[in-house]
Amino acid sequence: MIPKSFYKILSYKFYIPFSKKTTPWLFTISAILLLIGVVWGLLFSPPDYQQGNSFRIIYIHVPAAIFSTLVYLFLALMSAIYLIWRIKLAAMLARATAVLGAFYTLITLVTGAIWGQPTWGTWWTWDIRLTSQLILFFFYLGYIALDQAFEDRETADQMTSIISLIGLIMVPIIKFSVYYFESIHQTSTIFASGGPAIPPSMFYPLLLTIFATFVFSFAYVGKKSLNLIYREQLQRHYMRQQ
Amino acid sequence: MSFWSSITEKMAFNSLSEFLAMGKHGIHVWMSYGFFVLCLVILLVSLFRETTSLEKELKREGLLDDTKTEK
Repeated sequence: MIPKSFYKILSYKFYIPFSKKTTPWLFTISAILLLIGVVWGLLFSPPDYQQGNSFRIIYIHVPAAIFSTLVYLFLALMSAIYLIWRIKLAAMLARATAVLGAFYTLITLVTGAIWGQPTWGTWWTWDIRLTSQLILFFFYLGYIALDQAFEDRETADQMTSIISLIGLIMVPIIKFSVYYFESIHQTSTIFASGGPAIPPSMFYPLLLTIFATFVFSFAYVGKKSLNLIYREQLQRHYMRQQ
Repeated sequence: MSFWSSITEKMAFNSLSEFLAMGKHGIHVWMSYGFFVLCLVILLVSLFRETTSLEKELKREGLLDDTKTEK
């Protein structure tokens, strides 16, 4: 049912040279996109008529927030694939995303707090959107801690995969909290009904930084998973020597 | 000159000090971007350092076959 060429892609032998070749390009592309987006957003976008210049924080807050949840979706998907089909590369890719996702979540929380201080008049409030994002951060930390707690690789992969699937509940809560509950946080600007509720001069740089984050995520995970494969190869090598 | 001024005309700020002040939100904007850059540096430095040390170890153990994996 699954074509043979698909299994080839899933093997380390194919993945290692592929990742080695593509990641430098992905890092370069994401750096260029980010630089253009940030310079445009900081220098050329007009100030917001209500928020003044503090709105410029969205060029990092929004991409980080979007990918804090998208990276988690990817992590959970890879964990599910590992649990169902026992594909080792899937577990490897899931592990490679955890630190990146934790950083995205942390950036979201910190930049959001800094923006909230002048806009809402408070750094932090136990609002459902903010709290669910914080819980997602704890799921990432829990995943990382659990990943390192077990000496046996298979046990660790099993446990982290299960934890990541439990944490999956946070993703829809974060996404829909602003629609179904009373939240201090505004609803989505980009996916507003009737098109993006933001003028093009502010929106284009945001699209650039979002796309930069998208490419960067692939670059990071590509390189990080390679490191994890190296680590595994070394461990197996030392085991054989004993 | 005209090229440069055509660019600066489109900027949201008239001077460098105005740009750094960000209205009354200089602290907030630069703190956010500073934190973002700090996170990026930590992520990338740890990632690339890990690769370097692992490749060194692999080479020492004779596991990294340069002739096969590169080119």
